[in-house]
Amino acid sequence: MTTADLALGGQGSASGAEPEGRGRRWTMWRGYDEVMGLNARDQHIARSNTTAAIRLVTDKVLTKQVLRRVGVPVADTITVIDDRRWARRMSGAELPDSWVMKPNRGRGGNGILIAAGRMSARPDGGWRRTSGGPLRVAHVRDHLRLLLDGEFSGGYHDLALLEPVLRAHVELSRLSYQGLPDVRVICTDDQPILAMLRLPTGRSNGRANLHYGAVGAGVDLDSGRVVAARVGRHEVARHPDTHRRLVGARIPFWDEVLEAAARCGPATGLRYVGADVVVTDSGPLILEVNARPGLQIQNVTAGDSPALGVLAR
Amino acid sequence: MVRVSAPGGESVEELALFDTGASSSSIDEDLAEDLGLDPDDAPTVKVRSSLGVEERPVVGVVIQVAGNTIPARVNVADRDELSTLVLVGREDMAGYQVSVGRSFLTRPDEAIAPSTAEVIFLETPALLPKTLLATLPLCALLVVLLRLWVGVSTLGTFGPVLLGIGYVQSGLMVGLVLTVSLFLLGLLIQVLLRRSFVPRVARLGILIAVVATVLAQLQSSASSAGDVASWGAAIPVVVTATVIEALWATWDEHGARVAAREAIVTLCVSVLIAALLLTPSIRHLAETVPVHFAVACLLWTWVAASYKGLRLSELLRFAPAARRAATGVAS
Repeated sequence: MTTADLALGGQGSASGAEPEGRGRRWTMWRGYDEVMGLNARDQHIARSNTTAAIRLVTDKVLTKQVLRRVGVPVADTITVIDDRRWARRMSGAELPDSWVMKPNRGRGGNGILIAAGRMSARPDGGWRRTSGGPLRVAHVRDHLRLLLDGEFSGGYHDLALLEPVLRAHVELSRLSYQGLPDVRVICTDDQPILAMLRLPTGRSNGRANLHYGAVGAGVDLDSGRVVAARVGRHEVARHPDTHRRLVGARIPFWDEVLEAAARCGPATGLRYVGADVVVTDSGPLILEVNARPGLQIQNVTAGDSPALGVLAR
Repeated sequence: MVRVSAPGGESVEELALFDTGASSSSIDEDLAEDLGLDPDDAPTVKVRSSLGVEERPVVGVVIQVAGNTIPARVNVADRDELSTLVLVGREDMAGYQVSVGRSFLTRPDEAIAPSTAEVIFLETPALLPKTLLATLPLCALLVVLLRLWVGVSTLGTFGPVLLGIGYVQSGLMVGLVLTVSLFLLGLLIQVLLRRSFVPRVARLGILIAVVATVLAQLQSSASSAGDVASWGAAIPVVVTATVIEALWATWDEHGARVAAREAIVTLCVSVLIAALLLTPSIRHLAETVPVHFAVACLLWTWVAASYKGLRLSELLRFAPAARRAATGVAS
């Protein structure tokens, strides 16, 4: 009994027939040959991505500049805040009615604050959260201070990046529950190889990260249609909150999504890259470029798309 | 380790100090009572010790050391505040070679080092700094294996190694109870500090101060652990604080369940490392051929680090992907 047998046994073995002897063992291991693990990924990244390029994409402001220069669509920048004194004295009137505040070097969607609109006509009356609750100016000031002190960036200093609130394409926001759905596209050089639609859920609290409980839906590269979806350990056909059918759903502007994602690698210098693309009503925007994209994507794309495990060898 | 037996048949196993500066052997008065001896009835002798001249009762016992049985007349004193409850003087150590500064060398019945299980619970520093230094590469190798081959994730990469060393020196029970209570205390402080928007650096500073305060208080109040070597107890302060900090960060990012799981895994790895450090054969290697041992561990770490395959935990994590790939779920 190998460990692979155990692992598969726990999930209910997939090989329906009863191949015996070596044949059976081969079947068990074959699937794992096509899977990339963290060890292989780290080695692959070390070989493909230079430290300079990795440093570039951890800086959202710089990454946006680089992408904009070569014509890749990115979200607008309202302002960049790096002045503690300004942050302390801010009255609220300086900022627009709605905005998204991000730590420039934040990871995994941590430290993001969203103002959906003004609470009242008064400029110092604070904002509304996406949930409808109040977002007071004092809280924004405190949050900003922590953010500038590097609270969400694993360091001791950071900048705050303010962007307009993005809205997903109606086709996608219909499927999703709160938050902003996006498409993660993994590319080598300028070739998209895997794609996954990520939909926030009630459990993920509006975040599109799989390990917070968002839905991950594998997308077929040619057709732009969802082939399989998972939430955590469970395979699902419908969104757990909206109950919309996911399998078969088509992503709008699919060719443009792939084109925008494919240009991220060459623009930033990364040869193995995970691009996060938001599809809005007017087309795709690059939200973030990852030098170390996660591997969970394989659980919804393996068998349909090129195998990452082969890539690493 | 020695076994002290009374004529009545009772016996205890204790850590003994072999003191070449003392002429006669000595045991603690509470220990004498446990053995069923009656010091009040016994004849007394005048003993000149570092504390001055004292009149102490003398009792007859049998001391077993490394397989030898030594009938001895020992005096009874209040050794509660001293590092060991049993002291063996020159009169009773004829025929032995004394290794200066080393401890846990023999068992009562055999001339081999005591087992991990016997030593790990004792509240006495068990390893010399030199021995620890030679075993550190082995701990590093274990961490590399656990992370790259098994896929275990702990709070702080090498935090468990330092906690494990702390446990070796402080005794497992004391160490574990301390760490767990410091974890809980840390979470409590975290809640308070979060409310007042204290930045990260300051939080870590406050945490170190709190951990140090608690440990200092415990050291000065606990009489039985009075000799916990200060350097051994000092290492875990900063480490414990950073591990607690990692616990907060994990809690924030992944929620209470993941944080609790990682805390438990961290403690388990620490205990594993403490056990490894005290394994007699490993201690033997580290004490006799420290440089060779360290180099061997270094080479094996190199070999282990070159592993590029799936981690054990990933067999489960990517089972759906493997199944899809193997059966060609596609159209």
